[in-house]
Amino acid sequence: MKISGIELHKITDNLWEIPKSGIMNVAGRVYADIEMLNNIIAYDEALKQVINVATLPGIVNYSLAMPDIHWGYGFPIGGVAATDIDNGGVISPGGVGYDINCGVRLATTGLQKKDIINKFDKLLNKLFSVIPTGIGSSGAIKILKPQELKILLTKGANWGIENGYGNPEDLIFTEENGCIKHVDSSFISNKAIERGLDQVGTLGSGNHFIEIDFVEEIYDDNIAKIFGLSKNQIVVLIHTGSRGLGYQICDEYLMKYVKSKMFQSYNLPDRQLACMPVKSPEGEDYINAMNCAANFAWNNRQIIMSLVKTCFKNVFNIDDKSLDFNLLYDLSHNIAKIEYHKVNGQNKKLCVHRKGATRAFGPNEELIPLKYKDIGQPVLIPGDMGRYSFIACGTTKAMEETFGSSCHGAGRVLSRNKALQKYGKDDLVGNLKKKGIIVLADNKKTIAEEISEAYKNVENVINIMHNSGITKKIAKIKPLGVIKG
Amino acid sequence: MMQKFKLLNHTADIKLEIYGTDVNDLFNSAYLAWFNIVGEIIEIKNKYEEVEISIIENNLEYLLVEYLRELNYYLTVKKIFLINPKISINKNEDFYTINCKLKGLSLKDCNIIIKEEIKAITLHNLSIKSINNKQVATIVLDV
Repeated sequence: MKISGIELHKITDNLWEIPKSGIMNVAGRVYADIEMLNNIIAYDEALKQVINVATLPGIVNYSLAMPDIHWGYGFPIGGVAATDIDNGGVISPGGVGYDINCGVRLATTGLQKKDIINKFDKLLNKLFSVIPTGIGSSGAIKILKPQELKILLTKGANWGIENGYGNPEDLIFTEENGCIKHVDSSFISNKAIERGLDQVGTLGSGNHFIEIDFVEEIYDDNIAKIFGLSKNQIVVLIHTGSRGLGYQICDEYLMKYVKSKMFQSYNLPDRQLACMPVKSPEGEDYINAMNCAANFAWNNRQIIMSLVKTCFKNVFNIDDKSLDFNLLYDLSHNIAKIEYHKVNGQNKKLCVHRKGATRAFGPNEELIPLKYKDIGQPVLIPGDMGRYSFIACGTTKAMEETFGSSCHGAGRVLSRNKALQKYGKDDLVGNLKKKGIIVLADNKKTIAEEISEAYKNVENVINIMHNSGITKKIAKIKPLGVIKG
Repeated sequence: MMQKFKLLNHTADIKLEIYGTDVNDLFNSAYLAWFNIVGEIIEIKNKYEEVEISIIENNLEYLLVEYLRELNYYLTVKKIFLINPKISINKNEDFYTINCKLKGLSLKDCNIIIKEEIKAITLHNLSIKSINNKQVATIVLDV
């Protein structure tokens, strides 16, 4: 069938294919049901971007879109593309995004909903005062010197642990153990370094948040137990990335690539897809810089989590044992990784771009912590501040169909401007309070832009992934308090 | 008076259409768009520093991107909000140059509300066209 000029073939109720045509190197595949698909086409140009990504040199299998797909720049948000490194496969900075290693981490606590209600306002106010939020936020820890930041970029979350922000066990439950090793931070530009000096341990703005949630529903008791989850338990969800340092690195390499003769010879439909072969000096330089920014982001979330833990201990006056604060998992949803996957039955070394998509490795994969080896990697899927989020796990089918990838969130349906026009004058804080959710933010505008109605219902999104067998739903968590960036 | 810029629909970010009678005016309009999105000046103290931005690019579109990136750089790194641009754009053989003199207001000293963080000036849908004797730019900002 054709919707708005785009040919779509139904593979299953939850999977649609855009056949290869014109300059596409592979077909496109979109995980969505028919209602969601119609909405994706009605709201924006995301499917055109799925087609554009299919033109990347060296792309294999499919240009994939997860059900939270929406209009991005170059890649759609919710896009996954893998290129064959040994056959001219490229790396695209735009396919990683500006906020390199933007991601989510979830910590469990030994507290129940009833344990925190009396002092909940105090807790939120404490978090809001301790963790810098909002535009250009800075000063969570001392401002670093350039040389100190360059060392941090090589150490990732280890830097936080070495400086007293967390426990060594946290690294086990962080993707890549919180650090991509063997990076050279001496190549990072002065401007990028300058942008990172005062932003270590800061949340930033837009859709970044710290959420205090409780576990509302459990779908799989056995796996929930291994994840350390129980009903009504308090958990903490943190969403942020590499801040200005990451934006600067993306800017610089994008401009460098777009002007290169190699890129001009590719004749791609969007300059934001600017790319270079992974096996080229320019490709290797970007991967090195991207990995430095990824290390910054893992450390950023590590420090914020540690600051959150200290706030809990101070407000509730409890010790480590009673708080029982543990990292369940930390994962990236804006990154490109060098991974091995099967392509037409052959094991291939690929560059897997996940732009607003989460790694979702299935059971027995080498890179999964031993504790989760038998069940698959935890997958964290934040919804919106007024509804709920989900904890899932990766599957073998994800390894076969999506290069071990899943959705990363709900996905926007309303632009920030429209959300602001429509809801900017409402008493949004009051409305959320009536639903039992306290929101603190630097300005009211952010709350309007991030209102629930601006997003798809994340339950519909996760159900597509669950019913497709890409991820398995484990638990639903609901916000009690939200700190917005 | 000619409209200086218009916000177009974009789901996740900000898409702008910017208008100018000529290239200098187009860059002035781009500054105004940036200013309107980013800041609101509540109170200025009579204290500022002179700032000069000079950029060379082989393409007018990239010149616009780099100009807006520089405004952002001053704001986010140097914590200086730039106002009153005096823009001069020249074309020399294969290159475009911009020389722009501005007044820099320190965020510390002035009461300026920063309304939006522009993470990046993207190259997606980027264009500058001459339409009906007007210069029209399209640009997407990542917010």
